[in-house]
Amino acid sequence: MGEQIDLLQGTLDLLILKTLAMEPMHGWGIAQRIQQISDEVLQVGQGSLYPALHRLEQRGWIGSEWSVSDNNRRAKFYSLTKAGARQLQKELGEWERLSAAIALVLRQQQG
Amino acid sequence: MKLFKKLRARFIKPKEQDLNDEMRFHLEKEIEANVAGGMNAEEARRRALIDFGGVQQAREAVHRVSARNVLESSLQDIRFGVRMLRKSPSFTAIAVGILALGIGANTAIFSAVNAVLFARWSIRNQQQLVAVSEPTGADKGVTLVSVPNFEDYRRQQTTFEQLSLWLGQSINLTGQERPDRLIGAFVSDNYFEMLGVKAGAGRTFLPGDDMPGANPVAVVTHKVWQTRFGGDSGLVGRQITLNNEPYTVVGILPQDLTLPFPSEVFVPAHYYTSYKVERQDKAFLLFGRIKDGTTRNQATTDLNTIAQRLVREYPKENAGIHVEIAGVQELLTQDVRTPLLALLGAVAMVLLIVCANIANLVLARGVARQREVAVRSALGAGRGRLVRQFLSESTLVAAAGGISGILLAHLLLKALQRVSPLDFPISDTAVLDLRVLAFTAGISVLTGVLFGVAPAVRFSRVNLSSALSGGSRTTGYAARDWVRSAFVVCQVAISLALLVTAGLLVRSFHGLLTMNPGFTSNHLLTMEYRLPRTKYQTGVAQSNFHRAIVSRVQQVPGVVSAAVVQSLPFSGNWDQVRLELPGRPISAGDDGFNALCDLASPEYFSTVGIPLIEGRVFSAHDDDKGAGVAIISQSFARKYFPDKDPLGSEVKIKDSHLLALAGNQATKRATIVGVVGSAKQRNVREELQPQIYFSYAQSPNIFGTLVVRTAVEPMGLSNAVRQAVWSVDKDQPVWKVRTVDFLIERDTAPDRFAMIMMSALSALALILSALGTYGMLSNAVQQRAREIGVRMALGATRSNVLKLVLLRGLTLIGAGVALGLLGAIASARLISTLLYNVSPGDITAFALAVAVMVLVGMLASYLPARRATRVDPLVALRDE
Repeated sequence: MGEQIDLLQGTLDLLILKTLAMEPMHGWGIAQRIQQISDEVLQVGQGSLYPALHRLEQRGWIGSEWSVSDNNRRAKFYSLTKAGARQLQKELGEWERLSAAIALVLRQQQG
Repeated sequence: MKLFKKLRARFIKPKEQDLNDEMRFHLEKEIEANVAGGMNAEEARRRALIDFGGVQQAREAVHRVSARNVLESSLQDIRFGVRMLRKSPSFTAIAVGILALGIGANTAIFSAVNAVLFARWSIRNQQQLVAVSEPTGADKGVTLVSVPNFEDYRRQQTTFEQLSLWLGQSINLTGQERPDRLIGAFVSDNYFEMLGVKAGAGRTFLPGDDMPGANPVAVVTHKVWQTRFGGDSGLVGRQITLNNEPYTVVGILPQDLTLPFPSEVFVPAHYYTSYKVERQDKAFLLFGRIKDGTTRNQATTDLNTIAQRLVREYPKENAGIHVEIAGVQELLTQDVRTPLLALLGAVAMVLLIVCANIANLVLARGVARQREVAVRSALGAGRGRLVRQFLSESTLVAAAGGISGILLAHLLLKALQRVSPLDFPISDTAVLDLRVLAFTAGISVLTGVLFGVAPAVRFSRVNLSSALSGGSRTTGYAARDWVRSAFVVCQVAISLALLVTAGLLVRSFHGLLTMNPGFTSNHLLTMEYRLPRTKYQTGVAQSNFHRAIVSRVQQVPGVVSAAVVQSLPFSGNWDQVRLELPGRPISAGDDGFNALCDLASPEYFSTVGIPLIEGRVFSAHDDDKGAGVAIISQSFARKYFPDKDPLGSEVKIKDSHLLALAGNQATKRATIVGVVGSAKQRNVREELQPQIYFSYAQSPNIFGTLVVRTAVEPMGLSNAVRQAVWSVDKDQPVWKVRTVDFLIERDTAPDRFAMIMMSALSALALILSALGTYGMLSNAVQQRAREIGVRMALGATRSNVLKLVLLRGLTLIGAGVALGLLGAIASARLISTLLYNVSPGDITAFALAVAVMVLVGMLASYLPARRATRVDPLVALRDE
């Protein structure tokens, strides 16, 4: 396992929205998915995950409902709302512009 | 309540439940994953918990996201607070008890202050109601105004809704079963309009009622209607006999009406027996209602413009006057304002001591709670949350204290009304109204914050590792001890200041009790009467009546002697006269020489015990046929005849109502025939004034005060004396039947009240600060038991240990006394106007207060010190 990176708050929101864009998922699943896809680089602490989920829910970008998980246990599933999908597109665009800009700056300094 | 539960179920409970379920689900998934990864169940669970981080922290982080959780966590705090308080019932009981005492005392005194200083009358915008005075030069206080001046003000002013004359004087009511005296008021016909008061039945006065020649009309209060006329439904329109003349009752005031001057019957001003439309005849008080939106300054300027014109046009009668305006409320409360505010300040100080005491209790308890706080903080409770938790606990205590305080205040208020003097206007109206309840709620919350903040801040900053590792004895000891010492010092300081204040008031009151009024006040019975002018028209007739009752009363068994005087000392009656003295010409515009003046029958001086110094007292020959005579007091002789024997000198009086008979009417001269001892007249605090007496028979008056020296208990003769008066005239009412000792008591009652209250409060403060010192030292001894044990093991003797603790206590008390002396000097200055013959820096009061404080402080330190000497080194050290 490589070194883990703490996520910025805005970044975590983006990752959650992106993860939920694939399918509705419960909190644990979201954390696992982010960890897996990032090759265990991005570790999501519960102390930030659940507050983020509640924040996003309050803003109306994700919805939640209780249903039964794969092994028949009650779990709270989160899903992307229409507003959330729009927000995801917006944030993805911003992210790309931001990372491109940072990359530019960094390259300049190296060169 | 039901709705609240529903709301809670809807918003709060499921959310909390949700969150818990979600967390548990997450944890279980984590454990499963760990097991799947090859760990055993125990290890999987442990790892999962570690990965999960603080459950509490996660939950709180979620809570912080959502605003509605403030309510929820507050409810949690309160629930937790209640639980904690129930776990330590003795702390809770002591804290709530002390607090109830403090808040109760504050509430009681505040409600008295509220009822007196902010009395509500049944009057629209009562703060617009003012008294108008025409002082000359340095005169202070309310002065009387002449009818013509009033009419000029009334016509020319632009800033008042109404200006109205008022004069209070008793009015005889006859034609009923028993002759009776009513508290009367002679007022302009716009008086009720000025107050904004309407009649309950009939009408109040109409414009024109106060014109000479109008039908005589009267307005009575609801109470008079009920008590004197048996609630007669036909009273409006009926004729009644007032001062021996028929008046038609035109109106009855509403029930429960409260007015600033509580008269029983009102009649138009021009029926006042000495009503004169002359500028030099200043007889009435002038009241006014300032227009809404107009300030008192504007109104004063307005009337002063008119006054200046009056001074120019009538320089003789209006020499040197200007107009001053005072709010009626301020005027009525000016005498009691300082004592009441002093008490309010003192009781607030007691509350501060209470706060310091409870804060110290909380701090002491906090030592035991340090572990608990550390555990909660380790479990992830944020510092803000901890502070909030502590504050909600102290607020709970404060709320409980506040509620018990209100109950206690109710009882205290009853006691307060009992010790409050008769004329001291704490009436039944001193109730716990909304303003008072708001005040109590306010101070309860404030005290909760006051005694909660220090411990809260202190304990939320625990050092986790040391607190959890079990070293509770030493953690934060020094810093907390410093705070607690400061609290004790402040308590002692405040107590000392209150003790000094109380001591000064006690000394002052003692001075009042032992003051010499200039006559012998015990065994004197007195009553007043006013003859109807229509029945006793001539001065001789009036004079004959006075003489007749004196001789009848003197025959009553038990009576030593009797006399008639116009203004008995301390009765509230007094008169002043302006004189010309021989060989001392008065320049133009000068007032002449002033003296208190009284009318007396020949027996007066021997009856009350004013000693004759020189010459003679009045005799039966000093009547309308004799030449005018006067008797002066020693103070008069000293002031106006410093180097000359006054006997045989002649004074000329400048006032019209004296020496109004026969030959003396023209000359207005009287020869000084005697010098008597000086006596106090207006009140017991008065400096001796120059006094001059004239013979009743030469300056007859319809008003008289009968004064009787008795061989037995004076009030026991009141009926016999009254019967003797009625044997002269069965229709003549007498009133104000009382003893001279009662008059003195009444006069000193506010002082007595202030003294009792201040003593009670300072005693309370003393006890509380002694408890505070004791508690603080006991706790310190407990905490330092190990240190003391070590000292003793190393050879310290019991007396060394005793000294150690005593010294510590005395240091605190010494610091408190030093600080308190500064406070005492300041507070003594604040109450200096209440003191009689005692300087605010009175050494005796200061020394006594310091002695009491130090003694009590030593006792409070000695008990814990003695306990410290009983520390068993073995037991104390075994813990190690």
